[in-house]
Amino acid sequence: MANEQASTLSFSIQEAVWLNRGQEIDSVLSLSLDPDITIQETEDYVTVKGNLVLTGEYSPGNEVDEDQQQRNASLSEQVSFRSIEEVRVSDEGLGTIRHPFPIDVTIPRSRIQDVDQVYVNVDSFDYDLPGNGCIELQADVSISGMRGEFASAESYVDETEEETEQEARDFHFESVRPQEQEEVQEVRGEDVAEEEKEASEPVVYLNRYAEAQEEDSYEEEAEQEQQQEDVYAYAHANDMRYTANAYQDEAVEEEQEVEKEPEEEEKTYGTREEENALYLTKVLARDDEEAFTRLRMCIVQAGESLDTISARYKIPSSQIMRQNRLNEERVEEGQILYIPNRISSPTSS
Amino acid sequence: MVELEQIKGAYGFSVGEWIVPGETFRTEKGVKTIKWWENHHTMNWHIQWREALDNKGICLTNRMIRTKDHEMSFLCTKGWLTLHDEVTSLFSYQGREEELASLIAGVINTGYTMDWRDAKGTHLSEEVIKHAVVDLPETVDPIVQSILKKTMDEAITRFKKAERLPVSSLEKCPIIDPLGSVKNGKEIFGQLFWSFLGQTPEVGYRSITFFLREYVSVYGKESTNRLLTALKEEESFDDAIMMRLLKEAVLPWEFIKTVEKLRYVKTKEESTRLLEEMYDTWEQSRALVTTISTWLDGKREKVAN
Repeated sequence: MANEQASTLSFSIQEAVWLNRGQEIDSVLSLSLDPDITIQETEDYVTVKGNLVLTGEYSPGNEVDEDQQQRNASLSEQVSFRSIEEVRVSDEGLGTIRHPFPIDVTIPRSRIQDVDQVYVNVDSFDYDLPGNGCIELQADVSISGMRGEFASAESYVDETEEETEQEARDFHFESVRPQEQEEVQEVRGEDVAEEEKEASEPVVYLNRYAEAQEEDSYEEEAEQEQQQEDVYAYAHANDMRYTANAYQDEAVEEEQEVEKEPEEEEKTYGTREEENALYLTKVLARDDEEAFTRLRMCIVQAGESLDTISARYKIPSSQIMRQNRLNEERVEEGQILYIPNRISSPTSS
Repeated sequence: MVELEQIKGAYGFSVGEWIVPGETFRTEKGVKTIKWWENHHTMNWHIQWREALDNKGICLTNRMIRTKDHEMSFLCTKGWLTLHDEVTSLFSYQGREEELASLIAGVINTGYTMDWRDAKGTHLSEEVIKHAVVDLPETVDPIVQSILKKTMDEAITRFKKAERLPVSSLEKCPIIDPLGSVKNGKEIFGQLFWSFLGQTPEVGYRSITFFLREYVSVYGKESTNRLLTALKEEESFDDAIMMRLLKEAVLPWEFIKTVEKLRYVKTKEESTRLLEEMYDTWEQSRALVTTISTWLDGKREKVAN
């Protein structure tokens, strides 16, 4: 069945962007979230790729947060300070924020009404400052230009069932970070894993990549996904919290957001092998001036050291330290490390 | 030019040949270096300093060679001089951090016993940082000025963090001849030989921090950790001293020093070069701060366990 009435794919983003200690915010002067997107067509799919770019200016807090000093912070945390490169303050004494949220949405051609009518819009955007070193974002994003109806879910079930095992390997988080992540030095979100229970309606798929070690609970998740093969949309960001909504004009699907500790999250999603999945291994690159490094995330297990992790990924420990801005070689169980994979060539659109 | 014959006679050398005229010469007892002193009072302080340190038996130093009359200095036609052994072989610190730790502890201990009314103070305040970048000369590149102003806030943050460290301001500070560079550590007969430069005596721990800053940069974190552990083993070296070293490392001295130098630059290129030097030193300070604070954190954990 087809419905020629255009519909919209919508989803919400919630994320906490943390600034480094010493970059405390006194007040936000301006903040905007703008799509920087390119649309690519293939035979079977249309891919919406790019970034939602958060930019803004803030007035830095001049006073060192005494509470932070008094907390149980380690001595090294209390006395750490930024490098010159990290000092990014405008001539007017204003701090600048620029943080891209990479987004990659793959849509079957059959769901596209008119490629020329596919647009990404930020419908609403709001923020909160729970602490002076953190910005909490909430945004509603929509992709227009799709068909309101689609083939019945059953037609996807078979396909899904056939692919269940493959998907069990393929489903994983993917994190893509810009190589230059200057203004926002650190993004520490509350790691959240989403379990989306869908009925028969194809809905948005939001995948993030995390270096996962176990597959214990994946199968349960995979079952929930068996009927969701219509549209894959995945967005990547560091420690992003996502909620996904279905087509606005379609039936409502259940959505359950489960917050988990990183260790739990690790158990929930697939394995490292999964990065071979085609649609999850694409490196995002939009701006000619920006090169992106695809990163894997590794959650440090008990007994692991930087050396063992370095050996496992065949990446020098110094590179891992640099990527994660580590000041020492000690890592702790549960700590999330970004493992640089390679630097992609910037693509022009 | 000072008469070599005059020096040979005073010190009883039969052979003397200039290597660098007025500075070093070769004798039948090895190569000797001349140190000229403009201030007799300063010279006497350094004679006392090196003797006191040498008497501790920690390591060899470039102490003053006595004249035939058993004097430690010599007044020639050009002025006061002292004579020292020249050692060129650099000391290898790796694996021998204990020897350096003994020297550092000895320097601090000896410094507690020294007195010097004109010793150079090392006080820093927030106001000094704030005013440092005001009215820089036009010879300083505008971009350099802009970056310095941006850096000032972080420098103030460093100052505040340093001030929050639990360091008593009432304790007596040592007065020491700064260790200078790691290159001043030489080796002779398998022993550490320290070549002091005879600089203006300085009050406090700042110069030791500067030395450690270079050390961690050259020899890395692991060797520095071994050095800190060895320092802790020194009887007179306690956590309070380590905390003082940390405080000096957190203070933005390189920022202040750079701005001071910028007031005398003649070209914009020179100002850019100074800024780049500050970048490097700033990073060295960060590395030292991380190393010391992490070491102290680790030590606390061990105590807690």
